[in-house]
Amino acid sequence: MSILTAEECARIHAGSLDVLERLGIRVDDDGILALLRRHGARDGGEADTVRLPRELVAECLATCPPAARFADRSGGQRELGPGGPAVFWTGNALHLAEGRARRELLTADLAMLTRVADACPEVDGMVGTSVADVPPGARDVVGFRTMAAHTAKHLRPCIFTPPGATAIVEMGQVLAGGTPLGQQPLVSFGYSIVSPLHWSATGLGVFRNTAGHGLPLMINSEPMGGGTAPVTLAGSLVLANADALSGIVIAQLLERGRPVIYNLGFAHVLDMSTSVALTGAPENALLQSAGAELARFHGLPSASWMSTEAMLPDGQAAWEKMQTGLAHATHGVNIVWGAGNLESTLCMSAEMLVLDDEIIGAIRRFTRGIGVSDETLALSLIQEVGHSGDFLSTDHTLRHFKEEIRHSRFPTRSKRDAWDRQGRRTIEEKAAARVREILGAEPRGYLSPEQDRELGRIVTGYLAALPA
Amino acid sequence: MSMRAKRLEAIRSGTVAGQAEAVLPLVREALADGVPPGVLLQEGLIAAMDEVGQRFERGDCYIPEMLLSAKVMRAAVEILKPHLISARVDPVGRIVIGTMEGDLHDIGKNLVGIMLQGVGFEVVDLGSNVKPARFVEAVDKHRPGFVGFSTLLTTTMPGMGRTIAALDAAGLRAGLRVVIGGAPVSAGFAREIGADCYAATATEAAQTLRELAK
Repeated sequence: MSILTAEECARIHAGSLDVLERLGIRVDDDGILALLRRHGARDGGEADTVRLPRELVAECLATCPPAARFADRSGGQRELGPGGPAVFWTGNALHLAEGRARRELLTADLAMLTRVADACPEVDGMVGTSVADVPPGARDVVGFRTMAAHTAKHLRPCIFTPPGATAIVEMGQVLAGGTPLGQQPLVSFGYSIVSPLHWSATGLGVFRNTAGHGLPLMINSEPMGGGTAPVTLAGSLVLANADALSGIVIAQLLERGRPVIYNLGFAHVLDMSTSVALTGAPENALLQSAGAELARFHGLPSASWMSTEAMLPDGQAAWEKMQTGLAHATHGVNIVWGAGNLESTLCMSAEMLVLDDEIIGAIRRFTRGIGVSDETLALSLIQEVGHSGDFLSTDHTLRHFKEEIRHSRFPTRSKRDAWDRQGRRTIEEKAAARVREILGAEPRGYLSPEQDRELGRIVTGYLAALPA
Repeated sequence: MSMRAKRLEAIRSGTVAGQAEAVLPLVREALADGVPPGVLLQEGLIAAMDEVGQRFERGDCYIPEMLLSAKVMRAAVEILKPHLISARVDPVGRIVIGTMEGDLHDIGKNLVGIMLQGVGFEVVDLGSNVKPARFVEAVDKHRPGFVGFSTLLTTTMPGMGRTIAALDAAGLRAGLRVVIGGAPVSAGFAREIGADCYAATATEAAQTLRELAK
């Protein structure tokens, strides 16, 4: 099922071009304003606003590569673009969920979460969080070192200040060794516009300070249908597309040909009784899947999150994350983040992370689909087994059962007696046990002594230079 | 490790891995070298199926792999059979199995049969849709220690009670243990109809009956 027809994509895009041309964007950075003006942006009527002619948007879209490359430190590289597979990352957060409560997330918690993510086979990348025990200006830098120490997966720090971005590019180069980081993008960046149509100095600083290396940049629109965007989902998409395109223009003017990820996948809708900006509702699945279709319309990679409003890993969390994750994967989102997230992405939970790992495995099995070939049609086997026969003991079953029927040990799939015998455990209890098992194992270090020393040197220098 | 122990270990591990091409020649060689067939059966093949059963219970192996091991075991037992008979090695036990009258679902019952053979039982499989009279006839003929009924349907469950009654009426119940299984039945139902035991899975059936046969 596709959500938008090609004609509807074109109408939304035409609306966004009109918004950018007539209303324009607000830009909290004089240098970027000047850059935009030099390339044909027109006065927006206020000192910090500019209107973007459609020719400029088209020209910048044309210089975006159709795919972005992401690397990890195990030698893996993936090209992500329209028609390609989905990868799944963890999520950003401020808090750690503990039982029914939450508390501030600390550096040790990020280390713990990274270890859990590292043990989750379906999780492809680690996203940075806030770490409350570090001064606000250095949380990204300290967090990055923590993540790098505990996993070799792709790292996606969440940046809190532009100098943090500069330091992390330097740290990324340490991890990449002799190879230029852009050729081996172990690290990627991104930032969200303040919808509607307002780029903050921090976001623009991140764009600028990470430019020039060929590193992927995720450009996020975060409209809130009914709040910061029209309540009609189509109207939200017009604004979200305009938000993202304006970021793409800036990114391309800073670095021509920089790989960008067009991300309408953090779109919210406002709950009209609680005023919560929802992330795991069916409307999110619709907006964010439509975002992937618009990305394909532009020929760009896309992103989103699988998210929930639930406070703990419970039934609500499972259904909301499955609905959003499955919708996004089947509609062609390339990067789905949010593994481990709860509470509208405010919280991380180690238990939710291992449950999401399982949800992602199920999603991946679904999107792999059904292979049809002479071998899989099994016509001669059907003749051979005949009426009332069994296929269980055939070689054909032995050859194919593992790829055809995804094994899953996590959800209850035993008979009642076995379930009784094994302590009648709920999925939440099994998740907690799995987390204990992961954390009970000897931690695996991922930094060489030299890398550890170098990263330590950069972090120490950064902390020392931090304004009091 | 002695040559004999090495060979037994190779038979055991080859059976666990489902490698007929490795196991069968070793069984023939061992027989030719005078290893008693009972030892080959117990320490090679049954030990292998024990391990396979344990791995399956732990979730470390899957049904098709277990069946492959069972296939190797059966092929090896075919080689051993004449030697076992001449050496007067008795099977662990004998069982007559079948699905209830009206029930054609036999995949679970087949699995039970394979697993029981795997732990050394002699299995007389009456197939599916078996009338009480046929069970009576087979029990009378083979004089097994056990008889096993399975059903998938609630509608054919009453056949289990009727079959037990028919065995009673024929005077065959003494010394005969009735085991039942299948999705709709339970340990409680087994007690209700006067069956001796219930097993939820094929591996459980194999373990339980082996204990009872001791």
